[in-house]
Amino acid sequence: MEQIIANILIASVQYILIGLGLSFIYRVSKCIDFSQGGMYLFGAYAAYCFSRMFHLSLPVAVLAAVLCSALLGSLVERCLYHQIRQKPNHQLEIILTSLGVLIIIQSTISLLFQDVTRSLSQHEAAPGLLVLGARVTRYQFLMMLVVLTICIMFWLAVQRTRWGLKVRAVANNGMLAEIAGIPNQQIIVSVAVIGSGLSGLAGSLMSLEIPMHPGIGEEALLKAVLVTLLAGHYGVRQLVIAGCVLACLETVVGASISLLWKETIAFSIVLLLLHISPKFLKAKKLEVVG
Amino acid sequence: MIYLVHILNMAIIFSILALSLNLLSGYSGMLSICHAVFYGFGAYSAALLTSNLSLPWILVIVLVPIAGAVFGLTVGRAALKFKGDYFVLATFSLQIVFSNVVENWSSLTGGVIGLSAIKPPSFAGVTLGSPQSFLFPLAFVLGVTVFVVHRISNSPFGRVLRGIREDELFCLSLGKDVISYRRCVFAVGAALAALAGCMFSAYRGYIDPTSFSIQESIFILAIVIIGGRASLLGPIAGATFLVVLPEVLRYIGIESSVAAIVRQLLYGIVLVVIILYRPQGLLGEHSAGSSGGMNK
Repeated sequence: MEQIIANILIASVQYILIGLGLSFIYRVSKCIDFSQGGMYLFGAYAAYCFSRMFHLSLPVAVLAAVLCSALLGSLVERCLYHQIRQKPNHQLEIILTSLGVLIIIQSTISLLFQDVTRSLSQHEAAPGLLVLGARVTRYQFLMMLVVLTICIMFWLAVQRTRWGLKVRAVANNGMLAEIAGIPNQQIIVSVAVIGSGLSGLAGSLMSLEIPMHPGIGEEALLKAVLVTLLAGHYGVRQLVIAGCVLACLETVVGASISLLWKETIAFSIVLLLLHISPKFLKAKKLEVVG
Repeated sequence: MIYLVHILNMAIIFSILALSLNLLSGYSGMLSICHAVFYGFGAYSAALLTSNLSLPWILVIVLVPIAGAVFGLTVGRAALKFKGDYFVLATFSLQIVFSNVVENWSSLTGGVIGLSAIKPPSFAGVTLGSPQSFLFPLAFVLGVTVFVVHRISNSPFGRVLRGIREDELFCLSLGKDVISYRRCVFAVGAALAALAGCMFSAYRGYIDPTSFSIQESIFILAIVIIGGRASLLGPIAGATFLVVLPEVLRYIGIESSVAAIVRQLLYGIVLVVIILYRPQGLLGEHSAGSSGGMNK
C-alpha cells in the first residue's frame, strides 16, 4: 500500500513537472504550444551534452540546459510566434507553427544523436531509499523537492509580484491589458521563456530517471496535453490536482488492468469527463490565477 | 519503372487523404490532428473484412467508406462538442487513443507487428498484384475524390462551410445549423480517408500501426497547409512534393535512414516558412480572416 501511494506521488510529480510549461503558456497566450514537447527533448539532450561532452557536474549541466531551453523558447517566440500574432486570427497558425518547430527540433536531434537510447544518470541503478515503508530513488526524491519548490515559487511569483499581476491581466484580457499600458508582447515573451525553461527542466530531470531517445518529446507532450486538458485555463492548484488525478488513474489502471492500456484509459476518461461537462473548464475563465 | 510507379501510387494515396482533410481543415476551418484515425480505420477494416470474413474487394470498397462515414459521424459528434483549441486537443487525444488501441489489441489488429498477407484485390479475373496494375484504380479513386470535393466546395453546402469558417456567429444568425454542417463534413472527410486506407491496405498487402500514428496525422495536415487550404490542386501538389522529396534525397546519395529524418526536418522547415510567408499555402485560397479561420 505504501509503495502504491509513493508511486502515485511520483507519477503526480512527473505529470506536474511535464505539464507546467505547456499549461502556463496556454493559460497566458491561449494557444497550445506543441513545441514544448521539443523544448523538453532539447532540455534532456542539452543536459546530456553539458554533462558528457563538456564534463560539467550534473546540477550545473541541468541549469545550463534550462537556460538553453529558455533561450530557444525566447527565440521561437520572438522570431516566429510574434510575427504570426500580428495577424488578426492567429490561433491556427501558432498551433501549426508549434507543430513545425516540434518536428524541426525532433529531427535535428535525431540527426545529431541518432535513435540510440542514452542515459543522463552517471550512476549505476541502485535500490531506492526506504521512506515510510516505500522505496523511492534519490532522483525521484530530488524531483519531488524541485517540483514542490517550483510550484511554491511559481504561485508566489504569479500571485504576489507586479510581474504576476501583469501576467494575470494579459491572461484575462490581453487587449484590455494593452490599453492599460501593460506591454503585452514583453509579458508573453517572459512567459514563453519561463515555460520553455520549465519544459527543459522537466526534460533534463526526467532523463535522470528514464533513458532518453528522440521520441521522448512526443511522449512527454501526451502527458502535458492530458494535464492541460484537465487543468484548463486555471492555475497551479488546478494543475497539481489534475496531475494527482491522472497519476491515480494511471497507477490504478496499471495495477488493476494493464500498463499497456493506461494511456488509452486515461485519455478516454479525460475526454469523457470533458464531453459530459465541458463547461467546468471554461465557466470561470476570468478567474485565471497562479 | 516499378519504383517510380510506386512513388506515384503513394502520392495518389496521400493526395486522396489530403483532399479529404482539406474538406475539414481547409473549407470548414477545423484543425483536426486525427485524420490518420480514419485512414487507419479504413485500412484495418478492409484487411479484416477480406482476411477474416473473406468478403470480395469490390464489396469492401463500398462498405468501408460507409463504415468510415458512420465512424466519422460518431467521432465528429464527440469532437465537435469542443471548440477552438480544445477541439485540437480533443482530436489529438482521439489519435492517441486510436494508436494505443491498434497497438495493444493484438488479437484483432496484430499489435505492433500489424496484419500481413492481405489478399490482393481481383476484378473480373484480373488480380492486382504489381504497382503498375494499381495505378489506374488509384487514379480512378483520386478522380472520384476530386469530383466529390469539387462538387461539395462549389455547392451551396460548400459556401455555407466557407461562411462558417469565416464567421461562425454570422452563419448562426442566418439560421444555419453550424454543428450539423460540421458533422456532415466530418463524415464525408472520414469516408474519403477510409477509402484511401482501404486502397492502401489493398496496395501494400501489409499494414502496421506506424502508418496511422500521430506523425502521419501531422504529415497529412502538413500536406494540406503546404499545398494550400481550400484548394483542389493544392493538396495534390503538396502530396506530390512531400512524397517525392525523400526519394530525391535518396538519389543525391543520402542513406535511406537519414533521408527519412531529413525529410521530416525539411517538411518541418517548409511548414514554418509557408505559415510565416504564405499562410494560404502554395495554391490555396486566401481567407478573409487571414488565417483560414478556426473552429471558434
